[in-house]
Amino acid sequence: MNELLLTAIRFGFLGLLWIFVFAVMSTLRRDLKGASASASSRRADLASNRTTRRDRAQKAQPGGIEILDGPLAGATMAFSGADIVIGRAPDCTIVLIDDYVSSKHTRLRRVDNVWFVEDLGSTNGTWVNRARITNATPLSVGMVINVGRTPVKVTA
Amino acid sequence: MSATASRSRNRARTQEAWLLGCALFITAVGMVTVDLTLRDTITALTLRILSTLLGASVIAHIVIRIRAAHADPILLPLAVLLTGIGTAVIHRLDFADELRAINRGEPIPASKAGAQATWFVVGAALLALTLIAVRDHRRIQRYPWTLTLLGLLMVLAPLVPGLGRTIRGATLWVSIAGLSFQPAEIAKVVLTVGFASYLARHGRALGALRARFMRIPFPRPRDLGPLLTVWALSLSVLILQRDLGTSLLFFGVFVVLLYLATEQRSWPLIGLAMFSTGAAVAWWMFAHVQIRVALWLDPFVGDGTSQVALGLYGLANGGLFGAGLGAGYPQLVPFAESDFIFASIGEELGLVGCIAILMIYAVLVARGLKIANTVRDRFGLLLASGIATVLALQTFVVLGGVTRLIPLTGLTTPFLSSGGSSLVANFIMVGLLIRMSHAARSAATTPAAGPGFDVVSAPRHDMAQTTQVIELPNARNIT
Repeated sequence: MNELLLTAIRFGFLGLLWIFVFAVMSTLRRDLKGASASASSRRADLASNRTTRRDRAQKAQPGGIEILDGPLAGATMAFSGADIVIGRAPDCTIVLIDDYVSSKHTRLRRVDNVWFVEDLGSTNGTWVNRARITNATPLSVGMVINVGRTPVKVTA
Repeated sequence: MSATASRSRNRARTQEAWLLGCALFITAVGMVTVDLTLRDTITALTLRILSTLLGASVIAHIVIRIRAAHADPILLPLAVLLTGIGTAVIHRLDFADELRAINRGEPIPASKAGAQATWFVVGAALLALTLIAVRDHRRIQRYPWTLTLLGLLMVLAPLVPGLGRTIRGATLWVSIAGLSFQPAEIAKVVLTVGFASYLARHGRALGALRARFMRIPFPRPRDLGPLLTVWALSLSVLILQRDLGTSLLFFGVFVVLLYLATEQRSWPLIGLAMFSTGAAVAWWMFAHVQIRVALWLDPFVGDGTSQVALGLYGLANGGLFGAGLGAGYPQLVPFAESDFIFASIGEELGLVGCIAILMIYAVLVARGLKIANTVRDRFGLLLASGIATVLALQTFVVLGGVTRLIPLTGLTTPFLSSGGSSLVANFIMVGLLIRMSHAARSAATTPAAGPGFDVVSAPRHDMAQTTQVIELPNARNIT
């Protein structure tokens, strides 16, 4: 085989290998750009969500919940209409890291535009105003629900 | 699905197709170079191998398009390129084996490169099957104990009399109906899933602390149980199967996952202490470990023909740009196509080629960690980091052994080494990464649609807790 050609192929192969590495790098870079773009659009979504929350506050309807203590302290979320299951199991809507919480502990659900909280047969119970709830209890703004050792406040 | 989401999906898949094409083209150039250097013509085997690789890659790509449209576009091309380069080098070593057999008057051995291409088809098929069978990666976290037990049985299977085969002093192979297989490689995947699901469930409890020592909080003694168990099992693998690499890998992955699950700095320290104890005891008790350490400290002992020394000669012969594919003498190193494939690559592609390979590994591991960072659930975080850790640790241990940074342990070089079990296991891991990256990226690109709520604000204590909060309800858990 032609010596010159083989040498050319030899270096050409190394060149190709590095071109591939740089092509991958440039894909990563574009990916990074795309990610920041989608992150900013998500921020915009969140901003619009905040205004709807303010609208709801005028009517003082329960519009969301805030976790007051525990590892998730300060986390807030707005209701969207779907049920919210709170517990320790990974498939709960809100996964609490609290040894006193059962795997499926409490459910928040909406019936005819009114939000209720109900206990799902948890070991330590769901507590509202220092009383363990036995039936579905309607939510009101400012109410604090104790799930295990985690207090959850109903916000507007 | 919104317009932006589908556009970005198409872009990702187009990028994947392009990179896949590049990877296959580089493989083709490598294979053809080998043929032209050693045979002056392109052999039929090369064409068969290349068409096999092309076909299997295309099928894997199509399955990703259908089943994981948002997935990371570079995972598959990286894996295919590594496999392709590995196949080209194995193909080159096949010629050397053939020549040696002819000189000795022995029958010509079957082509290992051809076998590797066939295993690639199996690997790509299992990758596709992983994507089809595992629709949601969160589903596989339900069986932590079953999977861990299954993994352990697989690791220990070669010890069963009549089933196991001892090759080169390590009892690693299982032989069923004439087909030998290394179950430890598949166990690697099963155990990583098992560890990740166990720690996703119980990791927090293990993080409960603590007695402070030197300002670092340490876990309660009873929380040491799981780590001690894995440590004992790793040691038993080392003692019963004489396999340094596998035992190191399992223990290392568990320690890393424990650290990620509990976020306690004390775990790596404890793990390191336990590893050092185990290593010291192993060195003191076993001759085969002592030999490895002695050859690491002085590979040129005697006539200087130890495997490590020959590998180093090969790397030195390669120099900066390498001898060129087919123009070196990598066949002089024992097991040049499996344990020492990196020395073969170093000899024929040189330092420049070796660094390119390392870059590919680095990007693959970085993408794994990136998926761990973006996936929204705790199990996904642990599984993706576990897979990245397996790849990183395995690459480090093998390449460190070949380049004499650490004592040599018998592990396969991910994707490059000749050997079906390892290749198949690595492709299943890539399949899981693709599945998780699809979940992570489709959640990021699709604006909150359908039922569910948006997390308005969450304090960023740390990554793991944030993933908890953003856990979006999907159709299944709302009902």
